[in-house]
Amino acid sequence: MQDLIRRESNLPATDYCITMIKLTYSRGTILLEGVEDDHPYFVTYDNRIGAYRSPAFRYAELKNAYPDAIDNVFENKKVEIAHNENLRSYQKMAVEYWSKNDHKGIIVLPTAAGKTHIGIDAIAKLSVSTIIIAPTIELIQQWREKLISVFNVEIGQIGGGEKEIRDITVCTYDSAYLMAEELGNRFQFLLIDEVHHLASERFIEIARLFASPYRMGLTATYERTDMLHEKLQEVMGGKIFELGYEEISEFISNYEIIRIPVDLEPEEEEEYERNRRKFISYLRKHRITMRGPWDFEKFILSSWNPEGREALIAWRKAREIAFNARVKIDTVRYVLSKHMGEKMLIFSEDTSTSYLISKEFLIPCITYLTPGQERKKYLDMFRSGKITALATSRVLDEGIDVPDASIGIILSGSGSTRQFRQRLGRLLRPSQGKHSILYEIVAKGTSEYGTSRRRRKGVPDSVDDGQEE
Amino acid sequence: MFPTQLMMVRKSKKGTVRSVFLTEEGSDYSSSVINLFSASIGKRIEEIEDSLKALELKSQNPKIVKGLALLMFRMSRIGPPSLLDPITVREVIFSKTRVPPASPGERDEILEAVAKEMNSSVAEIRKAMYADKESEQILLSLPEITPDSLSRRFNSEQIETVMLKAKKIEITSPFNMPRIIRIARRLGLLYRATERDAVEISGPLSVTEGSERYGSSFALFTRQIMRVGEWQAEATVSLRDGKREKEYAYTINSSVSEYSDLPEEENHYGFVQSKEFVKLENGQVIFDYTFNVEGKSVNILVTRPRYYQEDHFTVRSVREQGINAEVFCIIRGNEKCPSGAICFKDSVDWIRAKEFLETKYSRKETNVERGPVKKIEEISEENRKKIFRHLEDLYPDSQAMVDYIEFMGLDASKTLEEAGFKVIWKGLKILVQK
Repeated sequence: MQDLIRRESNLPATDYCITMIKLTYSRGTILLEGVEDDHPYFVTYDNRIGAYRSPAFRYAELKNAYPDAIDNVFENKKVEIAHNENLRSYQKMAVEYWSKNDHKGIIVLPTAAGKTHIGIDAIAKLSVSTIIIAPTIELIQQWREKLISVFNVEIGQIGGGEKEIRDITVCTYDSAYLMAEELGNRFQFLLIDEVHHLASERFIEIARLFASPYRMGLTATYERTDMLHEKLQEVMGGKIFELGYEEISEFISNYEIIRIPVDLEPEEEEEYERNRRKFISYLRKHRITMRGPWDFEKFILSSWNPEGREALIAWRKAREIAFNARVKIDTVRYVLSKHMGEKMLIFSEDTSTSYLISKEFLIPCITYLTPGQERKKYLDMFRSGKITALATSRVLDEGIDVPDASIGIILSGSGSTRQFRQRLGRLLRPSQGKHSILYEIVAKGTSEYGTSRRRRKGVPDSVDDGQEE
Repeated sequence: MFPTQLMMVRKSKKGTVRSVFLTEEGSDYSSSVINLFSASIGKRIEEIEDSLKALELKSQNPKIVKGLALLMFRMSRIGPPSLLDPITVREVIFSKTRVPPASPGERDEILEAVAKEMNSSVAEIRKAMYADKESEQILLSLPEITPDSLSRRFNSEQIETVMLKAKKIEITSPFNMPRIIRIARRLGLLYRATERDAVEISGPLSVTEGSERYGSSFALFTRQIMRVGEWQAEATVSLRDGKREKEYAYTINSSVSEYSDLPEEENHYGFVQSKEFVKLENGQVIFDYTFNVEGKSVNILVTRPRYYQEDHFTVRSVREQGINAEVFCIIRGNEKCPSGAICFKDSVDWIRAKEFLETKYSRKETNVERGPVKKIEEISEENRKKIFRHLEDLYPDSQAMVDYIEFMGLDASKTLEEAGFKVIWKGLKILVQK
């Protein structure tokens, strides 16, 4: 029978060894055969299929509980890889801590500290099937290129329009989430870059549905204001190693942060004030105090009534005026002229500003709307020096590695320190004689000033113009 | 289904939730949105969105406007504002601007050079530069839809949107349960009979944790059961209540259905769609098909690789109660046949499946599963060739080869030797070599 293929018996022949415990992966869970009543607490009887079941991330614990079980979860394939990278002392120490922690845990190092090298060393040390999950297409492409050059093997990619699975594969968070049930027993080593994103309600399921016994998380910004990072303890092994900027200063580029205050044009100022007043009076009337994201959410939720909606629109309009003040474009022009030929990244909070910059200065723009291949092309052009500037919204905030990028311009951004540090980190990769400058262009007399002050909290070496909100 | 921000529900203190539907009194909303779209043919999406914002501001409930507009966008035809290929345009522009132009004059010079190279105008180049961006697209034509029909679509989408947040659904149906369960199974959902003569539908992880992962499957499930008559469903949905999530009961029934039944599925070569449950000690199972071999009824589940393991357990539980059952697995593209599965490429080959079942369940061969009972010499020449050919296909997967032979009721070592293979034992593992 050509089309009828039968592999490995599920027939009563298996009844002969019915007492043998067998572990099988199924859609983000492990099915257990032959288990008696005294099973670990996380194993549950599933009467829908008549079998015991456990979440897949408990696989390593199941292996400890049932060391002699027939294990059908992974194909235990060894991957032949090695590398010649020289690790810095703290990078070696990080890998050592992780190894001692049963090959689990999260490593926290500042941006530009070389977390990728730590990941590479861990991959080589384990030499098992590995998936590297990162938030953006740029990052997975960057990982892929690095891994190809270091290991000289073919690397798979899932995400950005590709679905090529190999022993070592890079994958976006979104694709990993969507395909977690399918991929969960393909990779023994789960390496998560920018692991703070994993803690979100949606992405945490990736870690829960993967059975991978070895796990490493990498980040520069572990703690989240919503405290969701605490969830990572259970699925990734928690924070096991951390160093700050001060401890690795010899390995990163010198930098300064310069805030450039700009004036709104009179009609912009008037428009800004009008909208701001509308917004503030709504808040006062409804006794809403803005102390953090929760309060803002409360405001958003209340804004489905006509008055609230008007207040929300007014807030958006005021913000838009501050973010996109006409004079900011001229200031970008000034910075571009001052640093002509130097490699420059221009960050904004929204995509429309990025496209505006792109059209005004004829520089490529990378946003979440840019197709994968085009993103890669622009980054390659930027790295090779065929272009010297890139405009971007938030997609290049994290991880992308362009060692000789030395100038950054923040046209607009949130009040998040994490975002600010990540953007600064894009400029800190060390290279010969490099001195980096991060410019913040901020509209004077607007709430953008407060936003700027909030995000710079705790970041050393920033030059303030002393201007108040 | 809509994004969850567009969900419109009323929550009660008793822990129930119900959808807010667009009724005839609300048909003004649909008329206004259709009119706005009709007046916007030839406009850019960005401009239409601005007009929609103005309409939202005027309306009592902006979520309705947003939802209706989303439906209209989905059904409309849109196109780029320029015939030039935007990727090529960008490529040419950026190839000429290693260092960004510092003044508007320099920028315009570059654009002129690009226009010349592409035999076009500066205005066209500007238009084409991001012509593939969604907000730059032009509305070309609209669907022919009445306000009433648009409202009904809106309501269906509202139900699906609530179901996106479902963790499980308990469903009752006096006549159509087998069909409903088949819909659930095809979406990768699991089910179990409950005390209330109903069936609870949930996802694999639901047994260990309340995951919202199956929300989109529940939404699709709801869309499909709307075509089935007489049912009632109570879903447990997790919705925000202030800062935390809270579980609510969401009840709907077939009265929300506005569509006609699906045509009956055809029978295939004696395979009849199962209409009754097979009762088990721990519950009941509905199979996809039953097939009769010499008076014996064989129950068939048809599955996909990712659901195979669970269906295999179900079939095994059924067999343990002396009931004949099989599971067939459909593989597509480069998918591998799961360990232990009987696989078909793309769809069930009913003739092959029939042959297989007749061989396995006919009186003469009833014991085919009970271990090696036959010698290879006893098999006809033609069948021997088939078996050897299949062994070649399975090589070098030693375990699969042995299992196949045992499944055919033959002695593994002798058959393998006869087929030209060497057998080496490594502990309890058998290794087949050429």
